[in-house]
Amino acid sequence: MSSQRASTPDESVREISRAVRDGERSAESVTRAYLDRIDALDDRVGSFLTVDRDGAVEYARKLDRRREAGATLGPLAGVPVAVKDNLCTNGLRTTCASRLLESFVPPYDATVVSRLRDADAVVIGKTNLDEFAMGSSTENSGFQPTRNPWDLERVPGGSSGGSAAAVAAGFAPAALGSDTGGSIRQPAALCGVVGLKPTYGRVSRYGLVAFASSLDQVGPITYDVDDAALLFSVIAGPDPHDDTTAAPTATNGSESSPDADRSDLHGLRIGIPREYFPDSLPEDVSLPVRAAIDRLRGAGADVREVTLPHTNVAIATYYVLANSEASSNLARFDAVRYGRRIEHDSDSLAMMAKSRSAGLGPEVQRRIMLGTFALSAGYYDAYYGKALAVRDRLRADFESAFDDVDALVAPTSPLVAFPLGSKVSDPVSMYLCDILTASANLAGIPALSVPCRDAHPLPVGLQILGPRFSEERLFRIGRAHEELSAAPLPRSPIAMASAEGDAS
Amino acid sequence: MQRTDIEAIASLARLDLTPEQLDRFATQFEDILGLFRALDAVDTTDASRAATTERHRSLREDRVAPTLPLGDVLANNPASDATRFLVPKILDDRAS
Repeated sequence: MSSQRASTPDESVREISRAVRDGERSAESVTRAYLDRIDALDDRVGSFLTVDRDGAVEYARKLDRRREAGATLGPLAGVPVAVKDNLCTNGLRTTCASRLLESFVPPYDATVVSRLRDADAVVIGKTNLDEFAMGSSTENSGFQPTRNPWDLERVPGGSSGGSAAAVAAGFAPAALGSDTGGSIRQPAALCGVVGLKPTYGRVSRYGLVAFASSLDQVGPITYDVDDAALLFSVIAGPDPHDDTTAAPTATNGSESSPDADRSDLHGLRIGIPREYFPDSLPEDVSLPVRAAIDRLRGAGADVREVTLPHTNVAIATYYVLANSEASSNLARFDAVRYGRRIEHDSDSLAMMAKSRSAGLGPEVQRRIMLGTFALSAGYYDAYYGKALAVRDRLRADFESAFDDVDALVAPTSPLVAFPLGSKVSDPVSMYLCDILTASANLAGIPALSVPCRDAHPLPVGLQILGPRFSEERLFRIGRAHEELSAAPLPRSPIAMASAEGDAS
Repeated sequence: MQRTDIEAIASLARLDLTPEQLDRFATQFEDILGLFRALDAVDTTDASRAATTERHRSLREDRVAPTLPLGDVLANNPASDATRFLVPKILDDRAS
């Protein structure tokens, strides 16, 4: 271990990268400090599926040697980053939390992983998820559940629960997740950290194991909005390997400088969607969110109510479309070129069916079945075709709202973190966890979840949604929300525990 | 939904389900399809049925480039003879 100052779990990405670039700290010492925390504490949380101790330390040493040789390191110099295990990492196993891919080692990096490395970040490991990102609690992992660092008897949300829990536990200052119907924002909300679902097309999906290709986006999970903005600036941008990627145009990508008065929202129109505050919304969610909205109004924002009238059918639309796309995307897992094979003496089709059923968990099989049904002859128009048409209505709802306001603010999740096991046997109840997040994916718009610092005792997320390519505006509102909160950013009990063993 | 319907879907999906799984799916499908049927109430006259959100189609030129080395391609292969993917036979004897 270096004699330099040790890392602590409340450091920002910005502080770490500056200190490493300036030579105040070595990348190796930072990396080892986080790895030591993981070694000491992650058996309680279960956020990682693979920790790349040797690879991470070696990579950090190379960064230190480059800096010592006079090189200027990149914007994520020496920053340990945890990567959701559905993003391909060259030479490091990528399982999607599925037994089917237990031993799969990709021969290439996802574009977002390459961009992290190009920015001199250190990939320290791969985080747990609901198998193939299908779930809202990270209990559907084929390997282990992840626990919420705020309360180890509760779920961290999902499907990027491992990434959100890792950041909330102080095992990494930043992580990548993927969001198909809320899988970055909901776990970020339940774990008290920041999560961004970018505009569809803003971040490359190359090397992300596809779940629902028209909905999937990769995004950052961090402690605060500035760190999320920094990670986003590194991973975003067109990629020749993904033809849905695009750059923002001059008119929709601009926003005021982050150096301006961070809590001044004069001139900004914020809509409150009526449908996102149903009577059934519990007070432990609604009160901190409404208090945050009052603070935004007090900072000069013009706050007004708006309506998104098709919100009540968003979940049905989402699950028809996502499962249909999943049934097609997961057809590739046939145990021919990769994946665990159950040998069968006589018949390739039987081999595929036995291998898939042995390797895939019950939720993944249920979704493949539902998607296959929705795409099958006789039902295609009634389910898949109808859901596409309703998606068009949902998209129109947002376009109409954004004619009147610049952004929308709402809760991220209708519930705080729920007890482990309380929803696993009731798929419909679990699907409804996505009710406030799935619409953004269906409309292709960006959405940011930022903790309400006064929520107690469990975290609550404030969700900020904007028109396509308006990420900078979301960051501006998110920063203002942070500035306006009187309370400091709370830390989870696991994040407060030291690697030497004084955890409560 | 009948169990025979579930069996037909499982066959299309290339899944080999146990009798218990078939029964469980049949029950769960009823609940989940009940959720999906909420879509019937939405008037979608003249709505677009485009399968994707806005796509930018930033196509690139075709370019000759090396493929992955054979060893990398086969490294995750569950059955190979070092040059090919091996599978159980796909044609029965009458077809050959």
